[in-house]
Amino acid sequence: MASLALTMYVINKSGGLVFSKDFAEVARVELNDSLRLASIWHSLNAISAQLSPLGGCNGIQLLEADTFDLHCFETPTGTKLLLVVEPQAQGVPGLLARIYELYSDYVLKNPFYEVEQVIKCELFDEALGALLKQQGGL
Amino acid sequence: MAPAAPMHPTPPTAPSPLAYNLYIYDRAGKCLHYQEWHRPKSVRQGAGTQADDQKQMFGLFWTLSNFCATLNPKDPAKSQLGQLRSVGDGCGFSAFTASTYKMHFLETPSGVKFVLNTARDVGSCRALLQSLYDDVFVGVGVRSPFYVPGEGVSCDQFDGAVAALLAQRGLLPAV
Repeated sequence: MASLALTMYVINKSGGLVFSKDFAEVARVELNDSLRLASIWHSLNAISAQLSPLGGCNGIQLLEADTFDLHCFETPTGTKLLLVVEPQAQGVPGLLARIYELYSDYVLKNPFYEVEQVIKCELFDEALGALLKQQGGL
Repeated sequence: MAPAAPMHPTPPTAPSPLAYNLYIYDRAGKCLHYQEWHRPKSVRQGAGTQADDQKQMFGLFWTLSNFCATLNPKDPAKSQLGQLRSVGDGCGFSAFTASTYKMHFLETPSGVKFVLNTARDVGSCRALLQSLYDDVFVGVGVRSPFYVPGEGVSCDQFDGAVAALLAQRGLLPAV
C-alpha cells in the first residue's frame, strides 16, 4: 500500500536545508537541487507575504501542483517542515503537527544536536519512518 | 411532504468580495491587465509601486513553476533547476494557499497567464479561469478592434465582463 508521503524537507530559519528524506525512488531530487529548492522556498514565502492583498500573511501553507501537493508547517521559531504528498491527500496538517512533535523530541532534545545545523539523528529517522508507515496504511 | 430541493446552489452573498485581485500576463511576462476589488493592504506597503508589484507577482509564479517542475515526484526524467523549459513542459502548479489568501493560476498553451487571488476557503477556480480566457479574454479582449498583441488589454467592456463572470460564479457580490 503506497504511503501518501513522497518527500520530506526541514528548512531552518535562515532558509538552509537541514533534513531531506525521499519515500519513493522516483521522487529523488539531486542534493544540490534540493539545497537550492529549500532556499527558493524560503524566499517565495517572503514574497508571497509581501504580495498579499490582506495584511498579516505568514507565507504559503499549501501548494497544489499537477502531480503533487506540498504542505508547509512553519514553527513559531521559523523552522519550516515541508511534506510533499499525493494530490488531494487528507489529514496532512495533523500529520505535520505529529512530525513537529517527533522533531522536538528526537532532534531538539538530542544533546549533541546544534540548532540550525544538519539533522543526523537516527532515532528521528526511525520514529519518522514508523509514523509514516502507520499513516500510509490508513 | 418532501421539501423542495434547490435547482442549483445559490451563490454566497458575501459582505466583502471573495475575489481580491486579478492579473493577466502575456507570454513575455508583461502584465496585460490588472483589476482589483478588495486590497486592504495597499501596494505601497507591499512591493512599492504598481509596476513593481506586477513584476514581483510574475517572479513569484515563474519561480513556483520552475520549483514544481524540479521537485516533481512522479517523473524520473524531470528537468533540473535552471534548465530551459517551454510552455507546458513539466509539472505545473494550479494554486497555493497562504495564511490570508489563496492564489489560483492558469497558463494557457499560448503562454497567457492568469493569476486570481481570492479568500482562503474558495474551491478550485480552474474552470473559472479557463472560462475567463475563453469567453472574456478571447471573446471580448482579443476581438476588440483596438487590441494590439503585446500591448495591454484596455477596452471598457473588458473590466465589466470580468466582473460579470466572477459575480456569476459567486466570487463578487451581484451587481
